[in-house]
Amino acid sequence: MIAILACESSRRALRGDYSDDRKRGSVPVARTTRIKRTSTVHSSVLKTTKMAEIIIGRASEHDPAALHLYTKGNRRFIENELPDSDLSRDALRAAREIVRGISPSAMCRSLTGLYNCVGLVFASRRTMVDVKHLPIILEDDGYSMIPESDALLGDIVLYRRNGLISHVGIVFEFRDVSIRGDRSRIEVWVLSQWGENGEYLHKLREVPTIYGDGLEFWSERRPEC
Amino acid sequence: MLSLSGAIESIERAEFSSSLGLANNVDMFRELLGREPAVQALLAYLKQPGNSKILLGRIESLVREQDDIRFRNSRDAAIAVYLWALNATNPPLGRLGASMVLVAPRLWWARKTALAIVSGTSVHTESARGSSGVSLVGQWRTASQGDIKEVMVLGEPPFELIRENRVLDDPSAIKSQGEPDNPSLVDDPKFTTSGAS
Repeated sequence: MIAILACESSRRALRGDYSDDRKRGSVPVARTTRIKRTSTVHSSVLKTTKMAEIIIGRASEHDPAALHLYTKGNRRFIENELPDSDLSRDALRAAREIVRGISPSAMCRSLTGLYNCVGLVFASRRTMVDVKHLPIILEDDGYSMIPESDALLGDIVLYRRNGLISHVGIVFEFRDVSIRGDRSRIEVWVLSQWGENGEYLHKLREVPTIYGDGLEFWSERRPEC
Repeated sequence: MLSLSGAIESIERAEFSSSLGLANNVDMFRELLGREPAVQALLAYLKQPGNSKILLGRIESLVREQDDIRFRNSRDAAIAVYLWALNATNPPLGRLGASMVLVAPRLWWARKTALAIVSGTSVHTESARGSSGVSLVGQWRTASQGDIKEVMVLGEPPFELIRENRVLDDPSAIKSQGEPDNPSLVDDPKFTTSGAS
């Protein structure tokens, strides 16, 4: 896994300060990139004098910025990556408007871009985890696929597009939307983080088209209760 | 089709960034940007000679912009789009742009795009703790150290970005300042590095 040191490390590297990296035992930066502006008037002049940046396995077990996140069964490391900064308030408000355009009934629970959908469901909102890691999480944490009719609160719903996992959320609510005289109709509401655009309570199928329309329900419940 | 200025204006808007922000990983991010008309317009304009260099200057300018340092660079998605487009049309300049991005703070999508550009193929070397080995892949050197099996040391790029927004692939081919350039964009102060807003 080719990666780059966490942002703060990069800043220290640019200042020539590698002492913290060495203390932590991570791979030190051998040399650092110097970008020197040689003219400050009307042009951008860059001359790279020395050039070296050591990149260590970002999001891997070796990345000091990654959380120690492991699956239950086989204790496999779950690659994760924590952004060094959140989006600005203006950016998050723009994000909320994008979401409202897709799902007008969606209710914003939390407006932040510091975690993604997998980070919400499986890492307590602490970090970003690529959706491609979901199969090993589901397998090692004892999840089984269940029919939608058997889903209970707290179970998870997986979205697929063209067969690939694209999104995950938590079954949060069942709303009875039956019309008087008609059979009861239950609407499933899901709590999920829409990329970096915030956390929303939304109807099951009101999601961006990029998340697809393939739905799977999974549960780790033990049936004895 | 959008004009280049219209495409750039669209790409650098918060709404554009938020629409790409729906992605849950970098593959989805790339798929979303590929759907955008502004990106298609940008790719078309990058086919014209000289425009790649101007876009590189724009990347450099946005990377340096210091908006609120408590938060992510507000042009992160735009930088990622420019980097991706530049690498698609002019890979050497794409690598230079990637090297700028990799040392810049508060970037997320741009850094992921840059990493994808620089990683390419690499040679893995296994080594015992305390030993090290270096191998050369193109301009990039990879080194192993201790338990870390895969590290990468960026080598010096083969060219320099020098004055007056000109990028030379071959430093020895420095030409006079009177050399004509693509008149469609170079003379437009909006798209020179210093004039970028």
